[in-house]
Amino acid sequence: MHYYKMLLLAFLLLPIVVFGQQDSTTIQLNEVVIKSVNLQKSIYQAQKVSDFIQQINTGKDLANQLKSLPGVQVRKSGANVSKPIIDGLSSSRLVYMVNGVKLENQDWADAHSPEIDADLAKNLNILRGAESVKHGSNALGGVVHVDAGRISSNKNINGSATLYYTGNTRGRGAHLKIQQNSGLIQGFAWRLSANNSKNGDYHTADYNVANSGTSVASYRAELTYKLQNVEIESFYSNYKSKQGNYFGTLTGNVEEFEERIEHGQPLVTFPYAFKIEAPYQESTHQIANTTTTWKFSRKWFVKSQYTYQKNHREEFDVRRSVSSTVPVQDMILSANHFNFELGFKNNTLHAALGVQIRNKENYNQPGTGVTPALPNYLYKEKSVYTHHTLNLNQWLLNAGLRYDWAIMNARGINFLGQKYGENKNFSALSAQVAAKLATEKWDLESSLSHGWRIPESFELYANGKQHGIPIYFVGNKDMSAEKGTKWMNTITYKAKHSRFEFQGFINKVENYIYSVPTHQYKQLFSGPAAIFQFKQQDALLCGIDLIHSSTITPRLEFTNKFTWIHGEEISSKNPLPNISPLRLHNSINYQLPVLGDFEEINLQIGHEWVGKKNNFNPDYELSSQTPSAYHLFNIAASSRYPINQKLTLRISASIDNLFNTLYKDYLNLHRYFVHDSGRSMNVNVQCNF
Amino acid sequence: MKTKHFFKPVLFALVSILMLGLNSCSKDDDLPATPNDENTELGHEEWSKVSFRFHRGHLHGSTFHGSPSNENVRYFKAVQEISYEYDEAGNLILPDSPIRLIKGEIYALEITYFNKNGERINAEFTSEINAPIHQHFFLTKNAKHIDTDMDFSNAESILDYVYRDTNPEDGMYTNEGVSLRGADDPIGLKGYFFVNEAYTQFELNVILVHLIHGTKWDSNGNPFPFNAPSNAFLGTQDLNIKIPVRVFTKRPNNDDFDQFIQEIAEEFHVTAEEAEADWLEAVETPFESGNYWM
Repeated sequence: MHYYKMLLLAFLLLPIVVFGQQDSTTIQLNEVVIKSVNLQKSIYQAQKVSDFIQQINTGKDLANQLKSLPGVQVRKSGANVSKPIIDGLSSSRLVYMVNGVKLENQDWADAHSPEIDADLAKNLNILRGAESVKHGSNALGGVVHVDAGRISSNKNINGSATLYYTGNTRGRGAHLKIQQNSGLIQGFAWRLSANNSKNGDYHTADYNVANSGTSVASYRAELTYKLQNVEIESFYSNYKSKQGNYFGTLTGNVEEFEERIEHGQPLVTFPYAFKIEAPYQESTHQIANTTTTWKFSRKWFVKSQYTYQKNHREEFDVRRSVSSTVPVQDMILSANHFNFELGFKNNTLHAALGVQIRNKENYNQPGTGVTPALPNYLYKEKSVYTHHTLNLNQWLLNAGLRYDWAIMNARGINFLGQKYGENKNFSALSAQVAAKLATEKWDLESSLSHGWRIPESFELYANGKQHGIPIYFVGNKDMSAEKGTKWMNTITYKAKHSRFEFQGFINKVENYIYSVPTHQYKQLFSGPAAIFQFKQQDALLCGIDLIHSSTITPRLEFTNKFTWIHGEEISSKNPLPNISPLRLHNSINYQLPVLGDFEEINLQIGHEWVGKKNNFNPDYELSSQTPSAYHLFNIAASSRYPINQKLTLRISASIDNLFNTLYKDYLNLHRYFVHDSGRSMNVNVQCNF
Repeated sequence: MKTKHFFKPVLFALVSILMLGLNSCSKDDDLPATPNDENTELGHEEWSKVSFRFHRGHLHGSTFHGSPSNENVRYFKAVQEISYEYDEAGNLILPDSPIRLIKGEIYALEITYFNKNGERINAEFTSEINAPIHQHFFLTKNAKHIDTDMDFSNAESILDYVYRDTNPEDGMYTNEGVSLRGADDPIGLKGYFFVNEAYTQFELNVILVHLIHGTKWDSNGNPFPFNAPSNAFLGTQDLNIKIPVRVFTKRPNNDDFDQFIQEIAEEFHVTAEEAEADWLEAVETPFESGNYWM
């Protein structure tokens, strides 16, 4: 079995050597080739967070920076822990690509954010029409790209320094980027980036939410070296975050637990604190990556990538017998990726053939005194893929195939001292087809992709209380892989002063995995915990985004976005839990080129309405009531202030939740116990040099 | 030139195959690291068992003296014990019989916690770090007139409680070297109840609070009463158990002794003669053999 796979991989690599030799005589046109090949271009149109939105959201986490994009909602645990949802799917149903590297996350529970510092990114974008062939398993919902952008070609040291303040949490932070395209070694460039931020407790409109602070410290070093037709890019990044867990959800007995849900907000509040105390979680994610691209002929290139990742997650709780500095969960996830791609591109065809190897291991460090939430496990995946894009005047056509083999061998000991785990094998075919027609007034895009996802070890083997809130998860080791088929369509009409966009999708997911309350309680000595059981059945998700923007005057733009999404179990027609209610967003943007010494002035007034979730299954919720509809208003302004030719300031200020509305969002897991964030006045000043 | 161009692709492919090989040389039946059994390494993070021992007795001043225990007594027992522990599936086993109290009597309650290895771990609560942030509270919940669904109007006054924790926690007060922690530093591992009402059934809600912020004392430095914890305390708890309790009779005076015997008989479904014989067996136990003090 193993040998034939190796033979297959060797066979796939053979053309590289062969084509390399064949084209070795036609390599004189290097310069032309480099300019004509755009490896990033894709039929799948990425939706990018605008510079203005990124600027005014500095200091916020990834999910909150992405939420301006159609199809994106935010799954929260409180207001300080959040993760993006794309078209109703989140966590391991999304692929996060950080500077071209597939992130191996430890975000198996709702209370875990992706380990990504959005402030160090230049480009934040998402792909909703999942490129399941290129990005592999887990891209059922979509792909999030977080990219630092290319290093400036400036021969002098240049960069930016930013200071920012978040009013609601009294948080502050700073980040620094410096870079240079070295004049000493031709083709050599470097960049260093650092970001450090700390936020205290967040406030709802009425009260402080205790122990809800966060801190982030991240660093990245990048080197690129380009010599003729070979380009080597390397980076190392270190992301460290600490997130406090609100502890007011803990209760003593079932009646109090239900009373607390009924009450819907803390019985007792505590004064604001900047310091994070137990319970809290801390994670450190390191990535080391080298990517080599060699355009060995006018039309051919090969790309080889090796990545090592190490995640260390620790969760701390209030402990009695040992110090609270001893974690209750202490796990290390280490991963190796090797990707190899042979590519061809000319004016009409872009084709690629690739192999990917993805190995990871989870190891629970001994000595916590608490049963680990996950078993120790080994995960190994080998993949081959090919995809082809044809450019025919106004048409772009794409098709691709991929096959993955994977094993997951897990071993653990549960809280009763019993051994569990087994060796599991998986394999699946992924495929995609897509077409795009671009005319002067109309853009039509349609894609159909079929992908898969192996159940997370947490979904298979969970048997314990989640950190921070009294929810006790019970896994199901017999669950099989999810397989999703997503049909995504975008129709854009461009009039003279207006633009209308329709985005719609249907996603049929076989063996969809989700957890629902059993309405029973696990009586722990620390109080009752509501039991949530993982289950699996076929599900259908579908959704529509309508986007309209009109230029009223050359300086004034009006934008409306409407989002509807629905998810149901196919057999019973019961609504799925955690699917967003209706959302409407309106904004007015006013731009001024110059005002006194200020340039590029941008003002925005935004309004967001989120409806009450009506089509839900009460059996799948802890409460029979869902949060009321709410309106939020935001204002923001940004401007550039040149000091001299080499030095400019970029200043922005914003107020979120302008009228300090007390509200809860259905997608917030803590909605049963606390409200969402109140008003926040934010400022950031960026100095570009 | 040609040699150079041939060399590059071969080198690239070789390096790639080498890296690929490094990633894939392990076998598919490799196992992850052997898991560690955290249940045995530090078996004292969560309680595996907690027992509540009620001892009937009387006071010498403020010192409690327990009535002697006699194994032959079946109904009018001096000592009653109720325990909560996990079964093999990890579920908490709830007791199926209540604690029975008598109005006018005094009952000492001693709470003992055990870890997964069966070791007593009360000392964890009385350590220098933990004592200021731990306190047991005793609430009367769901009080009814006995054997009815009618609410008991004097629920608040059914019990009074006096904290009698000792230092060291496992020493018996009156023994040499054992002192009282005092009413200013209540833990509630030891204490005694006065039973002020009769003919009621209720749940004795025993809560052990574990404070994250601050200490168990109010802003004036006083502890909160045994049945009135601050709401701020209730956020984090190490224990919250409801013990079923029945106050089925009252201590007899001279003229209602027969009623007392009859109520014992009815409570335990025995004849009045059996009840009286049991009572006599209890009261005739040599008093000097009662060597329990609190």
